[in-house]
Amino acid sequence: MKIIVDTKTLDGISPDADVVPALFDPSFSVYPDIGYTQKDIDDFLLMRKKTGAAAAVVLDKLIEEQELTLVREALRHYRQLGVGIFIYGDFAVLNILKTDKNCVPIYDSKTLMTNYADAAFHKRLRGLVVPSPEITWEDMIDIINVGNSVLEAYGHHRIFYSKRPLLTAYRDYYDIHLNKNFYTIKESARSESYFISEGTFGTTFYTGFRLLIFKEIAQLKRRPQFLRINGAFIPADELAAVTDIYRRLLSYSGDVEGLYRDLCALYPNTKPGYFISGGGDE
Amino acid sequence: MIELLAPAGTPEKLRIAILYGADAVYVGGREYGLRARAGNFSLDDISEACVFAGHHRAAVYVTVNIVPHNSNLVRFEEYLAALGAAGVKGVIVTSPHFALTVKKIAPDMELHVSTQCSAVNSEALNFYRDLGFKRAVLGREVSLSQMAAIKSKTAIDLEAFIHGGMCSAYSGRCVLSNYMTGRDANRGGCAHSCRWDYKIIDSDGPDIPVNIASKDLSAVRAVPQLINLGIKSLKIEGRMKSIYYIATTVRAYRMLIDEYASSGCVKDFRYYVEELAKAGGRSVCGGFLYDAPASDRQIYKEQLPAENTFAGVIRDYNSEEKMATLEQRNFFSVGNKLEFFGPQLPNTSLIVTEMFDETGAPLVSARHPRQIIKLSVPFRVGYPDMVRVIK
Repeated sequence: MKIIVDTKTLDGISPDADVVPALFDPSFSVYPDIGYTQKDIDDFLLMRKKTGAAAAVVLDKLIEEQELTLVREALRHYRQLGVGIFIYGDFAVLNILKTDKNCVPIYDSKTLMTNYADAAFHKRLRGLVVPSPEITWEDMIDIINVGNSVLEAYGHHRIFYSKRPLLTAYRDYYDIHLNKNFYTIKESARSESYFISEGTFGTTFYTGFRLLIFKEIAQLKRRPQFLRINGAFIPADELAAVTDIYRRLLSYSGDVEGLYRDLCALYPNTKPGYFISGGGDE
Repeated sequence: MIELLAPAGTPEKLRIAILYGADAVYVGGREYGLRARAGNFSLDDISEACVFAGHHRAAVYVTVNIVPHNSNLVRFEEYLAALGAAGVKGVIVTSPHFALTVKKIAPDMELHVSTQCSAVNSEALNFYRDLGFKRAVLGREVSLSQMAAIKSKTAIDLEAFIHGGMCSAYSGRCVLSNYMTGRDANRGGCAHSCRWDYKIIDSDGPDIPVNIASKDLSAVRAVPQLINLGIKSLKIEGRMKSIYYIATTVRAYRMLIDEYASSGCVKDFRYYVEELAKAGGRSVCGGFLYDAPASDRQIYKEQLPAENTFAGVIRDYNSEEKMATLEQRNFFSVGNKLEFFGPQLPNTSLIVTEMFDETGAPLVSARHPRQIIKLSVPFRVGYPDMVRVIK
């Protein structure tokens, strides 16, 4: 099992072969804070290709009809740069990649992968899936047992994706100061907070807490193909520390309880996931 | 001929939708649909609905478009077989596994891609077509020009929403309700969290109240273009809405489509806009049909129009006494101006001069929901004509 980690910057990428950096395509990803350009990505991927190290590219936006040609070109481009793993949210990407038997498409809709039978559907297409966290742990295990899962193990989880520029629209309507593209937001009658982010392709909400699945991983009889660490809203150095703790978990180089305590110390506001807690406003 | 597709949350709404001119209706069963709080249909209800629809040359589609969890996978085959036996023409599906199961168990039923899939481009639509889908409900984020481009690149039939509520997010890509209330938006429990009040915590100043809710969609002026594009079906949203809403919206769009089909033009869109406004509800907009969304598609400070303009449904008419029997739905009084309308009845108004209860006792006001009222009406009316109060 390897770890796919969101890449905040292209400096200081873990040299560990078990860590696969996920890069966000600036034209086809809704990631809230991409810290590099297309040229940076290309240079980085070329370097990875020379060393034979794996990399994943994320194209998780819903694709507009007029973008299809560009998406096809982008996928071809990345394949030439040696990328073999693509994380997507629109079946257009899967349809384009279906004849390419040498790459791994990973379906990450965030919300629509909730049962083992749909996971098996993707397995028949040689695809992996990121199970949505809004399910029970028992259901999660059933999906993992299908044998094509990428388990979202850590980070702020995206729970809303809109094409609408919701912050800009509100700012324009009221002519108020709302000039950042990222804020903490609360529902008026509730205490828990979320992150709202607006980018070129719309608006996203993320959980204010970080999803944290850790000790459960050590207990799994059958392991997922990858763990996924989400880096959105996490400082790069903290993300590196999180990744190192997961890497040590997978290499069995440390006691699980101690590693877990170290992980919780990095950011206390974590939850084991909706699938374990039952969800709702706590 | 393009299909006018109406929502039907209950058997009564289904009958109203069809009698008011829908070519097809979509209904939810007790399981697998996305409107857990609608009345919904038992299998017997669905069988009866198919018979009723068949008599009126209409089709019944059933929503099985939840995003299923493992527990939802059991008994699905059995359910599909029953739908097939009932005469359901097609099912609306989100899960690929459900789609494959339909192909295996009920291969004669049409497969429709749910809007929950947010299918917004021809490549994705062709993926679904290859899976055996006959039709796709397009994501509401698709513009008219995008529809034209999509239509030229896919053989799958296209269905487009023309009226009703819109998610603020891409449909299916929002679980705010799950996290805020524990109600699963993708399994019929959406609490409409996007319509609540929020506040932004700004480190540079005081909290800023914000809203993220969308106006409803009303595509009256786009209907001719949608017809010309070759869209197969025009869909009205609203299985939770009242029979009055169903009647008003279906009737208006039926008249609009028929006018365009018969004359090749629409003389006065304003008539249809005004008719649809009588259905009440939130502010409307053209959604994403014409251009990118902006503040004018959002609801910020909304004064909802007066509700309860729906006075009642005509149950009977005595042509000798010129007396209508009406089942009351909302308060009205002697002196109010009422407007009668129906599938064959043009809008016709009168001032209430006298009315009586079932025993013949005179009434000043109709106060009690579902009370039977006798009204003097000089023109012929009958079920399922309806009556609204004109304020």
